[in-house]
Parts: sequence; structure tokens; C-alpha cells
Amino acid sequence: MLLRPRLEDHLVIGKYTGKIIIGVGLLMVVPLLTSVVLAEWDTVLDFVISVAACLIFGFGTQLLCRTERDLSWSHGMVVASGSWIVATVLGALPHWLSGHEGSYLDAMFDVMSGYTTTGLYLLQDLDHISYGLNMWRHLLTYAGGQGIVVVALTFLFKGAAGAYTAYVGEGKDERLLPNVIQTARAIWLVSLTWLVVGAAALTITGMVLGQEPLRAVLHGLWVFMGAWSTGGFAPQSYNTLYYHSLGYELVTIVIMIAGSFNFALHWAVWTGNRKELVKNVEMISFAVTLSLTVLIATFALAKAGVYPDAMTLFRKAFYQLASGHTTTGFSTLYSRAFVTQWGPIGLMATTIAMAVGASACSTGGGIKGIRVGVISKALLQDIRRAVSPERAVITAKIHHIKDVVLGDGVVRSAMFITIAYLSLYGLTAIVGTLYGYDFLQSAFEGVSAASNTGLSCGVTSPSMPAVMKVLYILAMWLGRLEFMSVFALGGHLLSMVRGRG
Amino acid sequence: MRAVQPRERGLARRERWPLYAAGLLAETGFILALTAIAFLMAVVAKAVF
Repeated sequence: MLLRPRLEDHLVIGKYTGKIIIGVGLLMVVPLLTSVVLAEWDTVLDFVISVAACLIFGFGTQLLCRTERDLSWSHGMVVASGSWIVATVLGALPHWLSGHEGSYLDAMFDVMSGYTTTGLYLLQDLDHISYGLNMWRHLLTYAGGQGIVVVALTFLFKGAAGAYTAYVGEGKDERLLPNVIQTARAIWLVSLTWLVVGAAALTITGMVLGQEPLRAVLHGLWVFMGAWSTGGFAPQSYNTLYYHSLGYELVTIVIMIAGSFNFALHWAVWTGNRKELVKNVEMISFAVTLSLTVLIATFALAKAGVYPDAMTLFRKAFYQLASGHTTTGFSTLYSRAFVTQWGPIGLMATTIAMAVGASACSTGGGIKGIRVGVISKALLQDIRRAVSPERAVITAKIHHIKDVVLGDGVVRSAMFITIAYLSLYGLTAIVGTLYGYDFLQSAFEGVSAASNTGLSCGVTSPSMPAVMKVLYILAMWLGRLEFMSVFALGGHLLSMVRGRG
Repeated sequence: MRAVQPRERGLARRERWPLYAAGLLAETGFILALTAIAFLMAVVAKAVF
């Protein structure tokens, strides 16, 4: 039986959603300052309006929704999913005001793509947007990679016990440390350390390539954010193909693969448990599926004679596959080359890599290595059970930070989320096909959106049907939040209409 | 009265950084090993075809 939410429930949800939107408004100060320093006055005005809109909404809800109640489990779920929608609507203001978007829907598409670390975009004339807007695009993806709620947890929630539910609702369900606020801070510590090291490496590489210092620093920072958050945004329309550099490619490969690791794995390795890199079920699953898809694509491309030598073959095949598997979306190919050069096998290998995706509790998307590992182990367990004597007790374990006995509940949960992802992939592929796109291409693009990857074979463009834009926005959102909190929001909305008071 | 020493409890205290750096280097080494395997695959694929 559905119970209609009481006023107090709405107040709690409104209060915490408002806090998160204040966080989004404060985040906009960074691109605002960038534009002030670089004298981009039109962009300054865009951001002043946008910051004001966020703060009015955020502080307005604090005034209207005064309550001392903490978040319950269902509230946290609703806040996590609902705040991403509100943050997308308000976060789209700078994009729309810039005049580089065809419509407000396009602006929302780009912002949802940023928050969810997808990387698909509809923004026009990317090569000539302001530094401020470019900073905002990349900051969106960097903050979205940590999770908007993690941003708010770190700076705004200040010890609210129920904040953990919002953190879980955002698809991060592991505590690195006993306290959830400390966990959020540990995530930031790892991310900021990688930011310093990665951005410096890219800046130096850019300067070696001949970029001016300011350009090298900004490109280094933005490409780092795109890589670490597995977002895939880059400051140029040619994406990382723009740099034509083996060095830049190697540095981005290291950053995007590291960005796809589970934060719990980072923390274990960083606190001395380095064997976890080769023992963890997610790492084993990632290494196996990445190697298999690279093997398929490499041999298919070699057989087709697409690339003249082993080095070019390696650079093209591994880069796109690593980018796809980590759900980053960086590319050193023109979009249409996936169709015209890679052919069905290359396209399919990349689609599978994107569908499997990165690690749980990381910045990445997709089904996730841990679920692939759990389902594979459960399958092996069933086979062993079938060939063993009836009275034999067969148990299976997975290793993720510690040994965990594989119970029915764990397998059921992994299967449920996997089926939900596969259904979403199927839906986006079918809708694309109904709109006249080739099935394989619409499957590639749909999986790319729903797994938050961002590789494109050319389907995503400002001229694509509005229904597909809305579907991709929803797919990115569902894929990033891993369904549960979105279902909770759906349940909450339904209970408002159909619930008993 | 107990002296409060918040710095002692911080995740970013100085003595932790060598361990963090070693972890970061281990991660980089693991990724470069995967990259090297992919390069070998490309060499073999080109040798076969």
C-alpha cells in the first residue's frame, strides 16, 4: 500500500535538494572567476545570472522548507535523483545564455551529459566558446564524477546521519572509512591528488607539443577532468585527436583507466594494500573484458588492413577500447570512422566494452565489473553444483577489498541491475532504429549514452529528433544513478497521486 | 583538559603521503602493464595479417 507523503517529507526533500543546488551555484563561481580573469564580460554576465538563479532557489528552499528532521532512506533516494534533475535545469543556464545551444533542451542535454560523465554534446561551434564556459563544462563533469551529493556532503551537509542515503542513492554504496563524510573527503583526496599529478603531466606534454603556457595549463586541466571523471569532454571538437600525440594519448590512458577504478580500491591501494590491484574481482573482470575486446577489435582491424603498422593499430584500437570500457568517451577517431573504417566487428567490440563499463563506486558508468564478476562466479558455481555429488556443499567467494561469500542476495541484486541496464540499452537501440538509424549504429549510440560513455558514431547531433534527445537525457540519468534512486523518485511521485493519506 | 589535535586525525597528514604516492605509482604501473599487453596484441595481429 502506498502512503501519501506528508508535508514534513516534502520539507526534508526540499531542504536537502536546496543544499545541493547551493553547491551547484558555488561551483559556478569557478568559471565566473575564470571569465573575470580573462575579461570575458559576456560570459561573466551569463554566470552572474546563473549563480543568482541557483542561490535564489537554494536559499529559497532553505527558508520555505524549515525542518529539523534528518533524511530517511527514501528521502535520501529521492533527493539524490531529484537534485540531479533540478541541477540540470539550473546548470543549463550558462550553456543556453552563451548562444551556442540550439535550444534549452540541447543545453540540458549537455549539462546532464556533463554531470553523468557521459561526454555526448549538442553544443555548436565548440572550438570558439569562451574559456569560462569551457571551464564550466569540464567542472560539471569533474564534480559529477565524484557525485553532486558527494560535493554537497563534503562541504554542506556537516554530519547529517541520513546523508549516507543520498550518497548511496547516487550509485556509490561503499564506505571507504566508517564515517560517510570522511568517505566523501577520502574520495576528494584521491581525486585532487590525481588532479595535481595528471594535470601537471598533461600541461608539460602540451608545452612540449608547442602550446602556449596558459593554453597548456587550461587544456591540461580540462583534459584531466574529462579523463579522470571518465567524462570525455575535451576543449576542442576533434576531442583528443586534436593533439596528434602519443605522449598525450598515454597520459590520458593512464588517467582515464585510473578514473574508472573503484574509490574503495584506490583507498585500499593507497593505504598499503597494493596486491588488491591483481586480486580484486573488479580488476580481474576489467583486465579480462578489456583484453578480450581489444583482441577482437585489433585482429578485426588488422585483417581489414585499416592501419598501416602495429604502432598505429595499437594507438587507435587500444585508445578507443580503453576509452569505451572505462566509459570515458575520449576518441582519436572522427565519429564516422567507427562506421566507415572499423566496420561491424569493431563497432560491436566497442559497444560490448561500453556496455560492461567501469568499476562500481567510481566515476564511470555501465553494468560494472563487479556485477560481471559476481554473475560469472555464480554461473561457475551453478556448473560446479550440477556436476558435483548431490550432498556436496559448493560455496563461491569473490574478493573485493575482503573475501565475500557469494550469497543469493548478492547475485540477485547484480542480476537485477544488469537486466535493467540491458533493457535500457535495448530501448535506446530500438527507439533509434524506429527513427531511421541503422540498428548497430543506434545500439552503439544508445549504449554510449546509457553507459555514460560518450563515444559517438555520428547519431548524436543538434538535428536528432527531440524524442531521442529526451530519451538520451533519461538514459544518462538512469545509467549514472543505477536505477534504484530513480525508481524511488518514481515511487514518491506515484504516492503523491495514488497514495493513501 | 584534553588537548584537541585535529591535524593528527586528518587524512592529509604528512606522514601518510609516501604511502599515497606508492599507491599512485602502483596504479600507474598496473595500467601501463595492460597497455603493454595491448601493444603486443597489435604486433602479433600485424604479424599474422
